Amino acid sequence: MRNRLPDARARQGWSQQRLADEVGVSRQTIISVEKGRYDPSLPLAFRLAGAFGCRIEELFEPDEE
Amino acid sequence: MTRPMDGPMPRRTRWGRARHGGGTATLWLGVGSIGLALAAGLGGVLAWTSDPGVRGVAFVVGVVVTLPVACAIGWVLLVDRGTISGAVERPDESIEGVWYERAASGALPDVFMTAGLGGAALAITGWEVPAGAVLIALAVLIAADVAVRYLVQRRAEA
Repeated sequence: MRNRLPDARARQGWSQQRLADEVGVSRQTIISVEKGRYDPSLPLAFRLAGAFGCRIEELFEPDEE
Repeated sequence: MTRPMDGPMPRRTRWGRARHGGGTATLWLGVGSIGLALAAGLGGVLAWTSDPGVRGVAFVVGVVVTLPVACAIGWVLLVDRGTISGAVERPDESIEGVWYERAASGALPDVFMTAGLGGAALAITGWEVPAGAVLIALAVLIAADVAVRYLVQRRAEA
C-alpha cells in the first residue's frame, strides 16, 4: 500500500515523533508506515487521516498490480 | 485530535504513577509491599524444602534472589502505563507489537523441533536428565529465540 504520509506531515510541519504522539503509536511505527514496510490497521489509518483532517483514500492507495 | 479522552494528559514520569492514585512514593510503597510479600513467600517455600539446618539461610537467599523480580511484578501490577514517559498509547498497533507477534509465532516451530529432537535423542541414548534442568533450558531457549528474532526484524526494518 502506498501512502502520502511524508507529504501530509511536511505540510503540517510535524516531525515523525509529533505524528506518533498524535495517533498514539511509536515513532518507529510512523517510519515503517512511511517506508511502506508496515500497512497500518484500519483504526490506525483512520486516526492518521483524522490527524491530517483528510480521508483515508487521500492518504493511502493500493499498490498498482 | 484523535485521542480517545480529551482533557489534560497526566504528568508522565520515568517510573509512572499508581493506577489507584497517589504519587511516586505511593507507587513505590505498594511495589515494595508486593515485592516483599512475594519474595518472602518464595523464600519460605525454599526454606520449607531445604534441610532443617539451613532453613534460615535458605529463606534469606530465597528472599534476596527473588526480590528484584517480585518487585518488578508488583510494579507491572500497580503502575498506570499511561503515566510512564515515552509509553505509547496503543502498543498493540505499533510496529513493535507486530515484531513481537512474528517473533513469538516464529519461535513456536523452533520449540517443537527442539523438543522433538531432544526427546528423540534422550530416548535413543538413554540419558537421564533432570526434568527441572530440561524445563529451565527450554524456557531459556524460547526466550533467547524470541529475543533474537525480534532484534533481527528490528534491525532489518529500522
